[in-house]
Amino acid sequence: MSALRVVGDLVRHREMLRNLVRRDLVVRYQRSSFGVLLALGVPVLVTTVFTAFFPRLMPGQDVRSYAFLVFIGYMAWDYFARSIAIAVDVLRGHANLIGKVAFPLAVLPFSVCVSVLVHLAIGLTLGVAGNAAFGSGVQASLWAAPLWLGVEFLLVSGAAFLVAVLGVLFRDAAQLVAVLSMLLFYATPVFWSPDIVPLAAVRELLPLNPLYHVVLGLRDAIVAGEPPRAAALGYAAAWGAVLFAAGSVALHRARWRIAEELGRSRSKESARRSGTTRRARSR
Amino acid sequence: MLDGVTLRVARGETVGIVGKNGCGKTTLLRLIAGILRPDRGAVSVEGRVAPLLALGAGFHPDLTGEENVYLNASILGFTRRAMRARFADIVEFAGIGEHMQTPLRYYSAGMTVRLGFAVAVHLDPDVLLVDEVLAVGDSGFRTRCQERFRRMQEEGRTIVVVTHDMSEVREFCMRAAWLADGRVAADGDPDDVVTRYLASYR
Repeated sequence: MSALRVVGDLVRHREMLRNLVRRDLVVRYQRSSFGVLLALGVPVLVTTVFTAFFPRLMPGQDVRSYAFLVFIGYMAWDYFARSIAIAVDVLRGHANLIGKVAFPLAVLPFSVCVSVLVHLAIGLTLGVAGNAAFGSGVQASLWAAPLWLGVEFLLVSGAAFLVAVLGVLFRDAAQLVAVLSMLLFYATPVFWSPDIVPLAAVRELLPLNPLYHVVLGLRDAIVAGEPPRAAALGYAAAWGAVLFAAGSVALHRARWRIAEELGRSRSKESARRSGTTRRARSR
Repeated sequence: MLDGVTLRVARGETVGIVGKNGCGKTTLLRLIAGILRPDRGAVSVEGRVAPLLALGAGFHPDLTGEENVYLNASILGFTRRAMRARFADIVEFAGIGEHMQTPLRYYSAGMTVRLGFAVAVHLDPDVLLVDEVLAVGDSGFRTRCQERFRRMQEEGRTIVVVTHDMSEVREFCMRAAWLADGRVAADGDPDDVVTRYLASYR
């Protein structure tokens, strides 16, 4: 039961987790010149561009509701993509730490998911407020939004664990993740609606993607005012549980290899710097 | 790299590990700290370990000295509350005073190490693992470090120190172990071991 062990580790190391998240937020928002501007500006710009060119990709929506649907969808998508992109490098980026202190590795990718969640929360709050003022107003179905966020959090954490392990074991994992992430962006209904897809076979395949349901579910909750469909919520949550379990197993199995791998690359670097040669650390 | 190392360190002992570059001294400390797992054999430690190889672990240049103290301590498993009680002592020991609210990027290398060291020795570990850190800081700080080590010895804490400074081994350690070819080549009285180790260079 690696997943339970990982949850236990995270609870025990909550102080470290909290400090890592605080560090990320301080560095990203408080001590940076464009932190908040980038956090909100980029999704607004993306939404503007899509609204200028592609409102026909959601038949039956006027331009204004298209803008809100794209904004909400993009924020939900961005949470996944941004977390994964950071998580793939997070262990390598903390090689120094991993070589010096014994702690459960899951803390690092998990802290990424939590700090990026703050980013998403800021964006979604803006989206909900904007929609309340200029869009469809405040919907009764808004209660379902935290539910979808919880499901997405589970999905993102599991995926983050997996890519964090891959990032250590394969040097080019980051590029691979970037490419897959881009493909997944086009396969997720962020700026189009599923009924414009011409091939029926493709239309039926699209819902296999759990993010498909998260994006549509959040939109239903915030913009359209429709209650969540239990089957969609359950399907995405099941994906989340499976990913979290798989990621936990991967982290647990690979933990010694990761410690050795990162310790080795570090000592090689320091050996290169000091001009001495060292024998490989393991046989 | 290490093969067939048997080392038993009693509570309250200070053991110096000596040997050439790449002989596995740091790997040995990492095994004791639980960072690495031996392919064969076992490592067992009683009590709480503070690895001084983790000096300033997780320090971030954009955070202030104070923020870094709490981050570093939490990585080593200490709560904010436990650290708050020791905070004044840490600041005094590090001798950084008014710069605690300054981001670490403006610290000199010596100040950063002093801060990391101050946190580590205030964690009251049962076992302290030291990896060549005494060679930093100005002489005032070195004196404080030495006093602190003496006090930890008196308090019956166990210290395992890796160093290339043979006078340090002779002066501070109750015992020394010489690692060569992945094994313990000699183990015992610091003077004897250091003499034999230095003789191996001739």
